[in-house]
Amino acid sequence: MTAQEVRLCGLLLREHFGEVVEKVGTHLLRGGAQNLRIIIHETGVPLDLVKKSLCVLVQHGACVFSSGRKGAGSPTEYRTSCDRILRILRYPRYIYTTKTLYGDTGELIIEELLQRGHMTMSSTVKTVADRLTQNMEEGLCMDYGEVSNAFSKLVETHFLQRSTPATPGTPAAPVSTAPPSPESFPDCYKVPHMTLVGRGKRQLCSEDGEDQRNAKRAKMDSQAHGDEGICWQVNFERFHLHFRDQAIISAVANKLDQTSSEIVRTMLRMSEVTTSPTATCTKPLSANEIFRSLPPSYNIARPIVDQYLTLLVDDPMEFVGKAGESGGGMYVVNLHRALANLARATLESVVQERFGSRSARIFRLLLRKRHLEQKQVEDFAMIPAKEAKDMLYTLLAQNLVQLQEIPKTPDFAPSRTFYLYTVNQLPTARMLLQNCYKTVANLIERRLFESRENKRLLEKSQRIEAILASLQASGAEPEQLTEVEEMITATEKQQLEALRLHINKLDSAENQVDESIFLLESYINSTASTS
Amino acid sequence: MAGRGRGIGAFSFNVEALGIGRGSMPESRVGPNPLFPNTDFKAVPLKAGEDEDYMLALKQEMRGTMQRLPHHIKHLSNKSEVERYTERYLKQKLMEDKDWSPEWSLLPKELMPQKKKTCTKPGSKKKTVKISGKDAADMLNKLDNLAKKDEGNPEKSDDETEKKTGNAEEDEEDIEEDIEEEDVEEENDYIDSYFDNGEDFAPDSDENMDGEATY
Repeated sequence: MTAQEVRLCGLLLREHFGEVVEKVGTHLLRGGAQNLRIIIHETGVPLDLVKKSLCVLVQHGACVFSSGRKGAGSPTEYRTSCDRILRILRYPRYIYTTKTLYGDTGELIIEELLQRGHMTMSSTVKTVADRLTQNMEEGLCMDYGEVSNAFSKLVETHFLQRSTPATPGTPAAPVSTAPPSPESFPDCYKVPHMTLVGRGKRQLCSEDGEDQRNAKRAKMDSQAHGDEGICWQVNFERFHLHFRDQAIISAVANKLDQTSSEIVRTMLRMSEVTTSPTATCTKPLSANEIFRSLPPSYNIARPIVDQYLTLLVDDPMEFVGKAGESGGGMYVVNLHRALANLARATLESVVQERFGSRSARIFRLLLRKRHLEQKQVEDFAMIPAKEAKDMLYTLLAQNLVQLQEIPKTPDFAPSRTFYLYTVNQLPTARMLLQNCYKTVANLIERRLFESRENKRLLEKSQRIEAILASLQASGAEPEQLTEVEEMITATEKQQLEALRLHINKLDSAENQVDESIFLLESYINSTASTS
Repeated sequence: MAGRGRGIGAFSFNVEALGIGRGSMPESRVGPNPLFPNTDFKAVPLKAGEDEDYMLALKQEMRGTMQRLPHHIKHLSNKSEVERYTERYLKQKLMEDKDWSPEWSLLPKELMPQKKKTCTKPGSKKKTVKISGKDAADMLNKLDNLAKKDEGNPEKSDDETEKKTGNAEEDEEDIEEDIEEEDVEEENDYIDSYFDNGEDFAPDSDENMDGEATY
């Protein structure tokens, strides 16, 4: 829970849930496990707002609660962790991935679940059907059955899972300190039997009276559908596995060619169900199986597949390894090694973009040769001594390169000590990950600053848009519309355009920094599980 | 340190071993690092494509939607007297707070909004206030009874019955009644304790007559 992480989590909470939740959330992040009274006392927020904020946090999975440390009678304690809140950065990527895999229906299901935290299947299906019906042409309606099918498919492939119900403090509950993960329940991926027949409703154009009537109708419609109390949530781990596989496949495509990436994609697809999330490598697959499972559009001859596999095994990136000779050769995909290589490539590219290609050469050299003296660095990198010195010292000042002292005598006299330069990949990756968090926090702050500076202008444009919309709805003449549009002067329009451009750039940058965050986090987590 | 006396550039050890020549030392620092140093290498431009645009749109939409959902909790700030025009348009899109009820099976019981407790609390408070009001009245009555003889008693008992029958539901009325009691006790404008009706004067004056002369 570093300072940068807490700052970023605070900003994300403020943007999505409001300042009250931000206050309570950051207090929990900094303070560890606390019970309700301490939170109220230390944050100074009124009781009902604290309760509401905790409900929101638990609903979205950011906070877990457990019975107190002193035994069964003590008040429940609430604990927050940064990881779940940092996932908010990745929501657009989850939604977009579902769209590519399951189409618009899947996309909307995931979007609804991400916005609400937990939802029952029936309410999700209804909301999604209504939204889809809105966007369809007049007269067409979305059937609930189609949406339920999409939902079931998502559950089958484990993208959705059931949320754990809160055990009401029974003594039968396990006394372990770790909260039970959703996977520990046997019914985790079982779709409940549900009686839900109907079609999506098209919402009429909204004016106040209509809204109230629709709200009333929605309330009257809520009959029990047979799945009360069974809530679903998005399974982020499954999405992360998918992203990891995508990263490996695209890396292979970039380094080698399209066919090899297809082979790796086939291997990963075949081992989706048999590989555990923390496995070092996939289960061995024989070349015969791989050949049979290749997509039929690739009609490659068998010996060529063998050649490709040999190429993949010999590649220094070590994505694919050979695990035996039976069945025409047993091949595995080395997941952890692939992640380590991807993280290493990220580090190298960071050094290259910040310090130039010659510094990057020195950095890569140190990564490969581990420990080198000053003189050896100059010789191996083929860079003149003065410049090499300068670059090395800059990298050292930025903490990307470390100095290791090896004494010849116990008194560490400088003239009798070896000074070796080295790069440690894991600590450097952690440091860069913190830099990424700081970057995203700075981007968000800058975006908020830009919006605040131009608040008056933004409000004016919002008002004018609202007026235009109401005029058009009530059928006005073009002169009135142009008159209203002219209320914004040309310079203001320019300012608005520039503002929109800046904000879009900052938002897009946040999304793309998140990709680096994902790679570095996966690498660090993979080393943590193996060590 | 050791080499200070013989010349500033002298080192106490053989500098050549470190690979640094005498002339190739970096410049000495003149202050802390600048806050925004010059970047020799500009940042790489952002990726721009269909996917990125779509994800950008998704992100902005999601932010907007989540700010309108009822779990976006706002401070109960003092609203300005006159509602601004823009706020009226923005309010239309906000969903009602009461519509949202989280899934209670996933939450601990203590987070449920408890309405019953708030009703009983003023009740217990009322009783205590009433009791304290009664106590205060009793004390006043006792003091008055001790100070005067008979006049006060029927008045006080009337006041007590008045108070018992007129049950106030709120604290303010109790306080008002307390204030009222002090006024109601006197049926005239004069406060009895200030009035000396002379009965006490006569027996006391005999004792004090010796020393004082009356003019």
